[in-house]
Amino acid sequence: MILSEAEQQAVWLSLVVATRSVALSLPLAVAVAWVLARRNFPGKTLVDALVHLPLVLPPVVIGYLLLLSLGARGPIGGWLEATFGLRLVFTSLGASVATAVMSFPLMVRAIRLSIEAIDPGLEAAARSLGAGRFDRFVSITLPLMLPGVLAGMVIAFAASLGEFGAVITFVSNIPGETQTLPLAIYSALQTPDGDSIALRLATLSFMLALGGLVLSEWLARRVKRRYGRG
Amino acid sequence: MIEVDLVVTHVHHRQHRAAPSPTNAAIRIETSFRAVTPGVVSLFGRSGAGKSSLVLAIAGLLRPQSGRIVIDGEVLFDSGRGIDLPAERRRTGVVFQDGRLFPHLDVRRNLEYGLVRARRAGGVSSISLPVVSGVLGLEPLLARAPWTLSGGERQRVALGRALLAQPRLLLLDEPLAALDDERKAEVLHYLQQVRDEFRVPMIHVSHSIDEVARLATFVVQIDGGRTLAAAPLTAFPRPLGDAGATAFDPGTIIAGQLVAVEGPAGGAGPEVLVVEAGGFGWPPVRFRVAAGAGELPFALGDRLRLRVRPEDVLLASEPWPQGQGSACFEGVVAAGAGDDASSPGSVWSSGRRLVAGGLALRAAAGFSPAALVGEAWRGGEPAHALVTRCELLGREPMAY
Repeated sequence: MILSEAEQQAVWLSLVVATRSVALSLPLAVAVAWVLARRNFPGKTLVDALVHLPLVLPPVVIGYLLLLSLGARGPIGGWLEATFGLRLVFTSLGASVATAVMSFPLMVRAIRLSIEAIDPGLEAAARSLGAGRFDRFVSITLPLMLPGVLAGMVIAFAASLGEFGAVITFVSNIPGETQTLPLAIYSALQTPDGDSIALRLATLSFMLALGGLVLSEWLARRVKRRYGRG
Repeated sequence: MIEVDLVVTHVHHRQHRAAPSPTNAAIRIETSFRAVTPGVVSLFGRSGAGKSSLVLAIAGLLRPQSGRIVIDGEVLFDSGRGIDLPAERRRTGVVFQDGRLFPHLDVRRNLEYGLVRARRAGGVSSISLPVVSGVLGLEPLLARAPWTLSGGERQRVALGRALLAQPRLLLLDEPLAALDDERKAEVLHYLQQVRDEFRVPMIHVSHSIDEVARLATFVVQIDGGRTLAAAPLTAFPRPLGDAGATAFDPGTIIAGQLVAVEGPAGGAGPEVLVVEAGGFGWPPVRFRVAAGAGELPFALGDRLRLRVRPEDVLLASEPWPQGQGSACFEGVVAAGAGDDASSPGSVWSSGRRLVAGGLALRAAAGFSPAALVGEAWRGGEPAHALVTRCELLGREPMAY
């Protein structure tokens, strides 16, 4: 399968956008997942619901909310541009932000499950063996939640590759800047004789998505084998 | 010296679950004892009596309501003076019921976890990995992953890991409860080894009389959130509490010296150990006890611990023919409060205390031969005791 330059660009751009998206959301997702798994505080249900919102809201609505808050005249967007000269609207960085928000709940879910599976007794044992708070997190909690973190990253990456509604609403459909795979497929379908291009790109995104799922499944199985039944 | 005075209230619910439900009853336990170190203090009481909460409190993993914990002069906790050393700086090695080995580390790295941190903290590390793996038989396990270990192996590794953290106190929270009988015996043997080799003070939680009898030097009996009695094992008072509840009656624990090893009676079978105990102006008493199968782990001169149950002691006014049972000797029936049948239903109601050579044996009159049944023994009367059977509990820990 030989790809045209424009198609290559779309694939490459998708990978870049998805990678940056995962990098952006990962630290926050780990922190939020840990808080949701291990802390009880008033308003926890509300935070939980907020985190899951992108799963149930139409992606267009998320894109629109991003445009309102992060747009050039939005409260946060205006501040970013004035302070750092950072522009999100119509840029590939903005596309990463949109996909990061959309895939955030998937990542938090995967990480949270892996933290909840860790017996808090192990951390107590580490404590009695002389490990302080930070030491415990690095030597016990982090390695044990790592499989969940990896699985969450893979799922979020795959979801970011495929995000359409939030991206097109927030950063539009600019070839070479914000036109990721699904947007390129959409554009191909809009042009006469674009069917074969659309089919090729669809096949490609199918393979990427499948690869992601297989990878995350493989990681989960590997970990289960390594840690035994627990 | 281990000094513990604690009031602990503990609501039982899983740490990461939501708010406690109304079914989560709060447990309140008070305890207070002083025991010499090194030695093994056994906290004895029925399951769910809150003994584990005491261990968590001593380890610093649970905050007591009030009290004081001092180990060999080092204050770990003192609510009066506002001292509360964090768990990671208490140097209390804990062996939990479920082992709690780190699943992502192999056995060697599990063992080294506390050792590395103890060295980093600048403490002396007198307990080394080769010595611990030697005593606990861990060499063949070092490269294994925790989930491939059997229950007994897991507890041995957990014990080694706690020891290697160079603890000033070892806390054992029902370390055998999750094991089957065979594994129990195996791990118990290693616990005795650790007690005698490393001389680290231990606090041991158990609801098994047998475990306590084999391991303890000091017993704290806990029931209904209160401490009923706290005393050295060999001087433990008459059992308290209602019959059948949590009476601590290990029988009579006797410490003696191995003076001879005899061949088995019929030429085959286990060897017979002759253990001499006594003193206090009376002729010493020689007990004959069968050694377990396999190689004899004791040498002449070793101090061993024996147990005699009340039902295995018979009294008579005439001397017993020599060579019968485990031992026979002359003594005097002790008088004193508590020897009368005042608590019906308990093993002790029919108990008579026989004193000979500083040994206080308790005999259950109900098990006496037909000729003696119903015979009333009064305090001060001379009597001849026949010990039909006694049990070898292992090595007697050093006298402290």
